[in-house]
Amino acid sequence: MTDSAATSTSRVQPGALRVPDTLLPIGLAVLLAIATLFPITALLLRSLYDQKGNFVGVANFIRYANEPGLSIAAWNSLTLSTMITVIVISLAFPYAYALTRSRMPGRAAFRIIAMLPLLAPSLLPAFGLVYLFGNQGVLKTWLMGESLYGPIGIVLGSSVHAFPQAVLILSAGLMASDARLYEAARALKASPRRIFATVTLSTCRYSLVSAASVVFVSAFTDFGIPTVVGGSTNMLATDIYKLVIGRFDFEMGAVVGILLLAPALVAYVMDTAVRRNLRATISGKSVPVEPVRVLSRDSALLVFCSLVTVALLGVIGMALYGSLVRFWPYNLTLGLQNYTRLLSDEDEWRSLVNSLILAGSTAIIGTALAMFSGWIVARSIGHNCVARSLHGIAMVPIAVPGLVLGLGYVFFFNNPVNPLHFMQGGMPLIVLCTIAHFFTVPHLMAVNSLVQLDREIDMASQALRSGSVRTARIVHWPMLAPTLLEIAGYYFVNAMTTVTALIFLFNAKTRVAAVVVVNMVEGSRIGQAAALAALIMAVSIIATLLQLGARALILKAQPWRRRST
Amino acid sequence: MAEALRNQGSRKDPMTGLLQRADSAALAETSVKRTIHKESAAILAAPFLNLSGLTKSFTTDGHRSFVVNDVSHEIQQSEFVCVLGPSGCGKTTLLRLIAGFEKADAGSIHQAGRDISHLAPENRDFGIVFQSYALFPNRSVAQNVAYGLEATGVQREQRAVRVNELLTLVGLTAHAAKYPSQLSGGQQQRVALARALALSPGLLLLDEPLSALDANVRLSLRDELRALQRRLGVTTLMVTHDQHEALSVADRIVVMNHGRIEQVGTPGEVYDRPVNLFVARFLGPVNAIPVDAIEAGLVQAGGMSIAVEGASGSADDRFLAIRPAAVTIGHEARSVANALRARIAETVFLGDLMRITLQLATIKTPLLQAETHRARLDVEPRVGDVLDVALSPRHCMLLSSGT
Repeated sequence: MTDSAATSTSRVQPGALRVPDTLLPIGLAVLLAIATLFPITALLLRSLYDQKGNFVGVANFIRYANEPGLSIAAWNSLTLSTMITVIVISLAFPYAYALTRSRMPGRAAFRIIAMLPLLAPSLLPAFGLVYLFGNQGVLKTWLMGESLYGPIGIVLGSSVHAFPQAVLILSAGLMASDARLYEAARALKASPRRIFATVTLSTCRYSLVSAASVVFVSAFTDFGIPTVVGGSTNMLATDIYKLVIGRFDFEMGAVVGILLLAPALVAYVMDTAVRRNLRATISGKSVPVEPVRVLSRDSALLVFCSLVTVALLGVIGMALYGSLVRFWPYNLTLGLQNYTRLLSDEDEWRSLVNSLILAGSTAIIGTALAMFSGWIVARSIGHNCVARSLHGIAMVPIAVPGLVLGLGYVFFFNNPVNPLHFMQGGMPLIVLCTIAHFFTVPHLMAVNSLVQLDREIDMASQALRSGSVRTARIVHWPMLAPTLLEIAGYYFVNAMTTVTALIFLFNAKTRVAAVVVVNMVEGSRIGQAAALAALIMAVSIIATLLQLGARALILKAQPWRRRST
Repeated sequence: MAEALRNQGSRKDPMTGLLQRADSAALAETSVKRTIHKESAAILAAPFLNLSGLTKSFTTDGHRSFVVNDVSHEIQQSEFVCVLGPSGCGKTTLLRLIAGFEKADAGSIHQAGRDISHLAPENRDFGIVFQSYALFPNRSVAQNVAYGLEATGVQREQRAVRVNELLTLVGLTAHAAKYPSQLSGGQQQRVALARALALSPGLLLLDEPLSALDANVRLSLRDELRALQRRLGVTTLMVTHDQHEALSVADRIVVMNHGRIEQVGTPGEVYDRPVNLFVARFLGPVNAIPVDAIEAGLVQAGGMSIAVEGASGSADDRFLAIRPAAVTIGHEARSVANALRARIAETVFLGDLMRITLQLATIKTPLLQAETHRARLDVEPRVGDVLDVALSPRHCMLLSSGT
């Protein structure tokens, strides 16, 4: 055993409080298990029982397979998601390439525009599509007689929705490359095309797999877009909603939930398997690639990116425009009546307040929990196996679609036997569910930033007669502030825009705005739905701007982060 | 830094804190001498740091391994001790046990007569310097040095004075306002040293402090570190895997392997009289030939019959060992004890030195390495030349393998 291995297995600190060191990780692991594993288990079990609570084995699955409409939904979900994945990756890769590897002008602006769909509920682009290509759409003729409502709408809407995530992942993959690999390839007389195939594609093949799986899972499990533009094309995600909310067929809902979970799990396992091989490719000593100007390539990319952003802005802009129109398509005068009606209605006003409460508490509590779990994992606090299982549980939510998690919550917390039954329908449960739903990314962000925090700095502080409180206040807090902010922003925006996990959980008093948007679509109040979605997006944009502003302030107040020798 | 040290003699001593401490220790010493007659001898002889039966094991995947295994050692006041060993020998864990970052499974640690085995690090009396510098990146050089002074409630004015003293000591007053990221590795390590000394600790712990530095910086900082330690008289324990570092700075070297102490001694002792082949090899290159038999002061090894001072005992698991620099070649090797003839198989040019690989004339193996000053050679040796070689009985060692 090497010295470093020895120190990584033992974190015993004499004099420090031993009991919390052991108990706190266990407590957090139990909390996370209650928020993720138990509800999912409840869902799995429910699929094996009938309505009266008798064990029926796979009878529910057989019943499902025999309902013709339902298995068609599975087929639709599979084929359309595959199509969406192909489209999004083939658009997002050149886009990300332009952002990271070219000298195309306006890269920063293109990056921001590509991220816009992240700030709105998934339904917002769907509204834009309705106004553009719907039955009364301004560009309806572009579809050459085909109806938007159906596969076309689903593919277009989900593509817009998933695009930013793919660009994010692919940009990160393209950025993490080593200039020396390119120099080596050129020294070995490889042609530009060969260099692209053997170096560029090969170093980012993991992020390609990762992006593809994220897009696929997002398309497979989203139900907002099919609700608006799916027409009579059933998807698994819309089915589960109809089965549970429309027919109260919870058992069948559980079966569909498992079907939804399956590809997400496959994608997750694939992704982790691929990631495991990733470590060796890029080391800390890599030299970043400095893109050079290639006029022909850069202008081609500029044209391409402009077309993509025009399409993105067109869809989102059209949704905003539609929300401002008095009565689509008969009276196109602009006005705020959709907004004023929203804000004068007590229910809808309350839903916005609820959204803010949810987003705010998720941001604060979620960030604290993520930092806490990140700390335990990064520093192996307490028993090694507890820290490891905590990490394992924290990785679960990314593989669980929101609908599945939400339905699991219904099964787990609505069960009168459960002592936590009282939480059902309440805001605390909604907050818990949202924190759990998005936990993986903040947890990983926390682990990554804490791993970079040299443990010897803690020791140096201790040696200088400082306890952990002083160390945290004077050293850790300033160092981690940007990460905390980033996690809080991530949580806030996701909590504002998410629908899937919450659609089964609210009661009359705790309905959040994004859920109201869905309910409005069901009531055919598209104009108001678009207006509310736009308000949600506005809040997200403001929150993001605040986050960026705070980040800039922090960086300004922390001159030590700037390297100027 | 050297300049700062020279200035110290003429002007006000910047290390008043530490010197006062030493003075008061001396005062305490004399008062003890005066008052307690019989016990004084025992108290004065008591080591500053006493490690007794320290043991630390880790369990990974159900397998228990002892990283520090029953280590006992005494360090005297103002002594500079180096713990030397290969990576994984437990030396860093030993340092962390002394600092309190790890808790021992068994054994005790006494510092200045006080049992500190169960104290938290912040309640012990030591300063530490890490290989990674571990400076607080968000604090300037001056703030880093002031960190411990703030924690112990030293007043602002005194703090500023003390920080200035320490920065003068390490020659970094001009960089007081800079952040660690703006400094070179050597400068960062000087800040870490100043920070560790700020509280005038009774014990200075150095965890491979020079390993991350470039070769030239490493050499100069090594000498400065040594001079500073001598000057301040602070008891110092340095962990290193670099034998040159240990040999050049330490008063005493503790050689560790597999969690155990192999040998303790002055640099000269461990280098010239290693207890086994492991220690001999770790401190420098050595020729080792398995011994076939020992008869009447003569050692049979590799087909040779070699006279070795005090040779006796069994031949099992023993080696005839001699350092390349102790192998005599050329005319000096004629008509002395253990004279042999050998052919030059290979030469390596090392500047002032030359390393010659010799093949003994009588047998095929083993090859023998010799290292010699080129100035002492009559002619430049060439591969294929046959020359005289002698293994002086005084420099031949009989060692067990030790692993």
